[in-house]
Amino acid sequence: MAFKKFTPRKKYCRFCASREILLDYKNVEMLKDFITDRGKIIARRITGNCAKHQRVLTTEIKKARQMALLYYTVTHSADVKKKTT
Amino acid sequence: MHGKYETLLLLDPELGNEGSSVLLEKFSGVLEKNGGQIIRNDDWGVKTLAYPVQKQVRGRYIRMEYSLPPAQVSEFERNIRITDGVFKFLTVKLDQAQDKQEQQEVE
Repeated sequence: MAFKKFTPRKKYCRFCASREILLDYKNVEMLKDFITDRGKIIARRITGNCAKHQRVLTTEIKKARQMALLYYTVTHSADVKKKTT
Repeated sequence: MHGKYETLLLLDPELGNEGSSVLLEKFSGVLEKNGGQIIRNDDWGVKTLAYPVQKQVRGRYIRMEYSLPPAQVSEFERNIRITDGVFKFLTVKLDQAQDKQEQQEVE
Protein backbone atom coordinates (compact mmCIF):
# COMPACT_ATOMS: atom_id res chain seq x y z
CA MET A 1 0.00 0.00 0.00
CA ALA A 2 2.95 2.24 0.43
CA PHE A 3 3.23 3.15 -3.22
CA LYS A 4 -0.39 3.57 -4.05
CA LYS A 5 -0.63 6.10 -6.86
CA PHE A 6 -3.08 8.95 -6.79
CA THR A 7 -5.70 8.24 -9.43
CA PRO A 8 -7.67 11.28 -10.50
CA ARG A 9 -11.31 10.92 -11.37
CA LYS A 10 -11.90 9.91 -14.96
CA LYS A 11 -12.74 12.91 -17.11
CA TYR A 12 -15.49 12.69 -19.66
CA CYS A 13 -17.00 14.88 -22.33
CA ARG A 14 -20.04 16.59 -20.88
CA PHE A 15 -21.63 17.11 -24.28
CA CYS A 16 -21.32 13.47 -25.27
CA ALA A 17 -22.75 12.35 -21.95
CA SER A 18 -25.84 14.50 -22.17
CA ARG A 19 -27.52 15.62 -25.39
CA GLU A 20 -29.61 17.99 -23.31
CA ILE A 21 -26.81 20.57 -22.98
CA LEU A 22 -27.16 22.93 -25.92
CA LEU A 23 -23.77 23.92 -27.25
CA ASP A 24 -24.71 27.44 -28.21
CA TYR A 25 -23.19 30.90 -27.96
CA LYS A 26 -26.33 32.18 -26.24
CA ASN A 27 -25.91 29.73 -23.37
CA VAL A 28 -23.40 31.97 -21.60
CA GLU A 29 -23.60 30.38 -18.14
CA MET A 30 -22.60 27.02 -19.62
CA LEU A 31 -19.74 28.55 -21.62
CA LYS A 32 -18.38 30.14 -18.47
CA ASP A 33 -17.53 26.67 -17.17
CA PHE A 34 -15.02 26.30 -19.97
CA ILE A 35 -13.13 29.57 -19.64
CA THR A 36 -10.77 30.76 -16.94
CA ASP A 37 -11.34 33.84 -14.77
CA ARG A 38 -9.20 35.71 -17.22
CA GLY A 39 -11.40 34.65 -20.11
CA LYS A 40 -9.10 32.09 -21.67
CA ILE A 41 -10.55 28.93 -23.15
CA ILE A 42 -9.56 25.91 -21.05
CA ALA A 43 -7.73 23.15 -22.92
CA ARG A 44 -9.61 19.93 -23.46
CA ARG A 45 -6.72 18.17 -21.79
CA ILE A 46 -8.04 19.74 -18.58
CA THR A 47 -11.79 19.67 -19.16
CA GLY A 48 -11.92 16.25 -20.75
CA ASN A 49 -14.03 17.31 -23.73
CA CYS A 50 -13.83 15.26 -26.89
CA ALA A 51 -12.17 16.80 -29.93
CA LYS A 52 -15.43 17.20 -31.82
CA HIS A 53 -17.19 19.12 -29.09
CA GLN A 54 -14.15 21.17 -28.13
CA ARG A 55 -14.00 22.38 -31.72
CA VAL A 56 -17.61 23.51 -31.62
CA LEU A 57 -17.17 24.96 -28.12
CA THR A 58 -14.30 27.23 -29.12
CA THR A 59 -16.25 28.72 -32.03
CA GLU A 60 -19.27 29.27 -29.79
CA ILE A 61 -17.14 30.99 -27.15
CA LYS A 62 -15.68 33.23 -29.84
CA LYS A 63 -19.16 34.11 -31.09
CA ALA A 64 -20.18 35.02 -27.55
CA ARG A 65 -17.11 37.23 -27.26
CA GLN A 66 -18.03 39.03 -30.47
CA MET A 67 -21.46 39.84 -29.12
CA ALA A 68 -20.08 41.15 -25.79
CA LEU A 69 -21.64 38.25 -23.89
CA LEU A 70 -18.18 37.23 -22.70
CA TYR A 71 -15.04 39.31 -22.42
CA TYR A 72 -11.89 38.70 -24.42
CA THR A 73 -9.60 39.47 -21.48
CA VAL A 74 -10.28 40.75 -17.98
CA THR A 75 -8.53 44.03 -18.61
CA HIS A 76 -11.15 44.80 -21.25
CA SER A 77 -14.10 43.74 -19.13
CA ALA A 78 -16.74 46.24 -18.10
CA ASP A 79 -16.05 45.57 -14.40
CA VAL A 80 -12.45 46.71 -14.69
CA LYS A 81 -13.41 49.80 -16.66
CA LYS A 82 -15.88 50.79 -13.95
CA LYS A 83 -13.25 50.56 -11.22
CA THR A 84 -10.69 52.64 -13.06
CA THR A 85 -13.02 55.49 -14.00
CA MET B 1 -35.67 26.84 -50.57
CA HIS B 2 -35.63 29.08 -47.54
CA GLY B 3 -33.03 28.77 -44.86
CA LYS B 4 -33.68 29.42 -41.22
CA TYR B 5 -31.52 32.08 -39.64
CA GLU B 6 -31.26 33.95 -36.42
CA THR B 7 -29.77 37.37 -35.86
CA LEU B 8 -28.74 38.64 -32.49
CA LEU B 9 -28.81 42.41 -32.41
CA LEU B 10 -27.05 44.55 -29.84
CA LEU B 11 -28.80 47.90 -29.71
CA ASP B 12 -28.04 51.22 -28.08
CA PRO B 13 -29.74 51.26 -24.64
CA GLU B 14 -30.58 54.93 -25.11
CA LEU B 15 -33.09 54.02 -27.82
CA GLY B 16 -35.48 52.79 -25.16
CA ASN B 17 -38.41 50.48 -25.72
CA GLU B 18 -40.02 52.60 -28.40
CA GLY B 19 -36.88 53.21 -30.40
CA SER B 20 -35.99 49.54 -30.48
CA SER B 21 -39.48 48.48 -31.53
CA VAL B 22 -39.31 51.02 -34.37
CA LEU B 23 -36.03 49.43 -35.46
CA LEU B 24 -37.52 45.96 -35.20
CA GLU B 25 -40.46 46.98 -37.37
CA LYS B 26 -38.08 48.39 -39.91
CA PHE B 27 -36.12 45.14 -40.05
CA SER B 28 -39.31 43.10 -40.25
CA GLY B 29 -40.36 45.22 -43.22
CA VAL B 30 -37.03 44.57 -44.93
CA LEU B 31 -37.36 40.85 -44.30
CA GLU B 32 -40.86 40.62 -45.70
CA LYS B 33 -39.96 42.69 -48.73
CA ASN B 34 -37.21 40.20 -49.56
CA GLY B 35 -39.46 37.19 -49.29
CA GLY B 36 -38.66 36.29 -45.71
CA GLN B 37 -40.88 35.36 -42.84
CA ILE B 38 -40.39 36.15 -39.17
CA ILE B 39 -40.68 33.18 -36.88
CA ARG B 40 -40.17 34.94 -33.58
CA ASN B 41 -38.61 37.97 -31.99
CA ASP B 42 -37.05 37.61 -28.62
CA ASP B 43 -36.26 40.65 -26.47
CA TRP B 44 -33.67 39.92 -23.80
CA GLY B 45 -33.93 43.42 -22.39
CA VAL B 46 -31.11 45.75 -21.39
CA LYS B 47 -28.12 43.83 -20.09
CA THR B 48 -24.70 44.73 -18.81
CA LEU B 49 -22.09 44.03 -21.46
CA ALA B 50 -18.98 41.98 -20.86
CA TYR B 51 -16.88 44.84 -22.19
CA PRO B 52 -17.75 48.41 -23.21
CA VAL B 53 -19.00 48.80 -26.77
CA GLN B 54 -18.87 52.32 -28.21
CA LYS B 55 -18.16 53.50 -24.66
CA GLN B 56 -21.43 52.06 -23.37
CA VAL B 57 -21.42 49.39 -20.67
CA ARG B 58 -25.05 48.43 -21.24
CA GLY B 59 -26.95 47.29 -24.30
CA ARG B 60 -30.25 45.84 -25.41
CA TYR B 61 -30.18 42.38 -26.93
CA ILE B 62 -32.83 41.32 -29.40
CA ARG B 63 -32.86 37.96 -31.09
CA MET B 64 -34.71 37.61 -34.39
CA GLU B 65 -35.53 34.24 -35.84
CA TYR B 66 -36.68 34.13 -39.45
CA SER B 67 -36.63 32.22 -42.70
CA LEU B 68 -35.13 33.92 -45.71
CA PRO B 69 -33.77 32.90 -49.12
CA PRO B 70 -30.01 32.48 -48.66
CA ALA B 71 -29.18 35.08 -51.31
CA GLN B 72 -31.06 37.75 -49.38
CA VAL B 73 -29.15 37.39 -46.13
CA SER B 74 -26.35 39.74 -47.16
CA GLU B 75 -28.95 42.30 -48.23
CA PHE B 76 -30.56 42.07 -44.80
CA GLU B 77 -27.19 42.44 -43.11
CA ARG B 78 -26.45 45.47 -45.23
CA ASN B 79 -29.65 47.05 -43.96
CA ILE B 80 -28.66 46.36 -40.37
CA ARG B 81 -25.22 47.81 -40.94
CA ILE B 82 -26.51 51.17 -42.21
CA THR B 83 -28.96 51.58 -39.35
CA ASP B 84 -28.04 53.89 -36.50
CA GLY B 85 -28.25 52.57 -32.97
CA VAL B 86 -27.10 49.04 -33.76
CA PHE B 87 -23.83 48.34 -31.94
CA LYS B 88 -23.25 44.78 -33.05
CA PHE B 89 -25.05 41.95 -34.76
CA LEU B 90 -24.45 38.29 -35.47
CA THR B 91 -26.32 36.16 -37.98
CA VAL B 92 -26.24 32.40 -37.58
CA LYS B 93 -27.77 29.77 -39.80
CA LEU B 94 -29.93 27.46 -37.76
CA ASP B 95 -29.66 23.72 -37.92
CA GLN B 96 -32.53 22.34 -40.00
CA ALA B 97 -32.09 18.77 -38.82
CA GLN B 98 -32.37 19.76 -35.17
CA ASP B 99 -35.45 21.75 -35.99
CA LYS B 100 -37.20 18.77 -37.55
CA GLN B 101 -36.41 16.75 -34.47
CA GLU B 102 -38.00 19.39 -32.28
CA GLN B 103 -41.09 19.42 -34.45
CA GLN B 104 -41.42 15.68 -34.22
CA GLU B 105 -41.19 15.90 -30.48
CA VAL B 106 -43.96 18.48 -30.42
CA GLU B 107 -46.14 16.29 -32.61
